[in-house]
Amino acid sequence: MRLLRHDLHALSGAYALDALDPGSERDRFTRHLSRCQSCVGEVRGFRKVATAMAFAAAAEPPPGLRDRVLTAAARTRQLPPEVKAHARARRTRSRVPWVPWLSGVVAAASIVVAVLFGLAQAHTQDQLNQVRSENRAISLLLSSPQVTLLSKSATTGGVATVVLSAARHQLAVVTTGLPALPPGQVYQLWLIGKTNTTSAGLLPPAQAGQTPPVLASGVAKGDTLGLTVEPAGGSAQPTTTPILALPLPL
Amino acid sequence: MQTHHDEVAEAVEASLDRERVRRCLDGLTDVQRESITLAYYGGYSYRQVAELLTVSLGAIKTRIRDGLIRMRDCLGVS
Repeated sequence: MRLLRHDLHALSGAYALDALDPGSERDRFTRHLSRCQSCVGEVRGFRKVATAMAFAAAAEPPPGLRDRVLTAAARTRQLPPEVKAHARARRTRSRVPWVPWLSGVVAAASIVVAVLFGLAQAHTQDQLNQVRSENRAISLLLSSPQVTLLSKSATTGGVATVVLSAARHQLAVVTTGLPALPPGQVYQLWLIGKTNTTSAGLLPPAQAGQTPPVLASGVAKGDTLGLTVEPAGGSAQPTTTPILALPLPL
Repeated sequence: MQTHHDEVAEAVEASLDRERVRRCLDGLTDVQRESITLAYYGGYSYRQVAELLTVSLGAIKTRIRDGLIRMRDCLGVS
C-alpha cells in the first residue's frame, strides 16, 4: 500500500510512541524524517510528552514485592529448553500471515506478564500453588491449536482481550484501561447463555491498568461473555447492566 | 540530612508531574485518550489499536497525533 506524503506526515504521533509496525512503514517514516524538518520538531516534542507519560506511570513497587518474587523464583523449577518446539514454531511462522500472528503474540505476551504479576502477588504457599495451577491451565489454553483472539471495548472505556478455545470450551480474559472502581465494587465476568447466566469469575485488581488473566471453563455454544460492576465479593446473578457484551463464536 | 531532603523534594516533584500528566490526559477527548493509552501504555501498534477499536487506520493516526499535540500544549513542552 502506497501512502501519500500527507498521510505519511500524520504518522508522526504513532512513530513517537513507537506504535508503527517494525519494517517498511517505520523505515519509510524514518526516511521521511530526514527530509522533513517540521516532522523532526514534532516528533521531538511528542517524545518529550511520552517521557513525561512514562514517568507519570512509574510507581514505587509495593514493599515486599522483591522478596516475594525471589522466594517464588527459588521455589520454581526452571523449564527445560524446548528446542524442537521452537524450531517448529519458526518454520510455521513464515507461512502464517503476520498480522494475526503478531496480535496473538502481543495478547499472549500481555497474559504472560500478567501471570508473572499474579505470581509475585501471591502471599502464601497455598496461594502460590493456586496461581501455579491456574497458570498451567492458562498455558495449556494458549498452546492449544486454533484459539480465537477477540477483543471489545467496554462502554465505560477500556478493552477486554479474550483468548477462546472452542475445543476446550475455555477462555482467558485480560483487560486494559478499565476505569478504577470505588472501594466496595468489583468487576465480574459472566457467561450469558440462552437459558441461564453463570459467573465466570471476578476480575483481580489491575496492575498498571491491566488485570491479570481470568480463566473461565464450561463455555457453551451461543454464550455471550458479559462484564458488570457488582458489590465486593461478587453476585450470584448480574445486578447491573453489562458494560461489555461479547458474543463468543463457538 | 541533605540527602533525605533531596529525596523528599524529588518525590514531591515527581508526584506533581504525575498530577500534571494525569490532568492533561483528562483534557483529551475520550477517543484520543483511548488510542494513546492503548498505543503507549498498552504497547499495541496503531494498526492493532485500529483493529481493537474497529476504526480506520486514518482515524487512529489522527487521534494519536491530535491527542499528542494537545498533551504537548497542555504540558508546555517546547
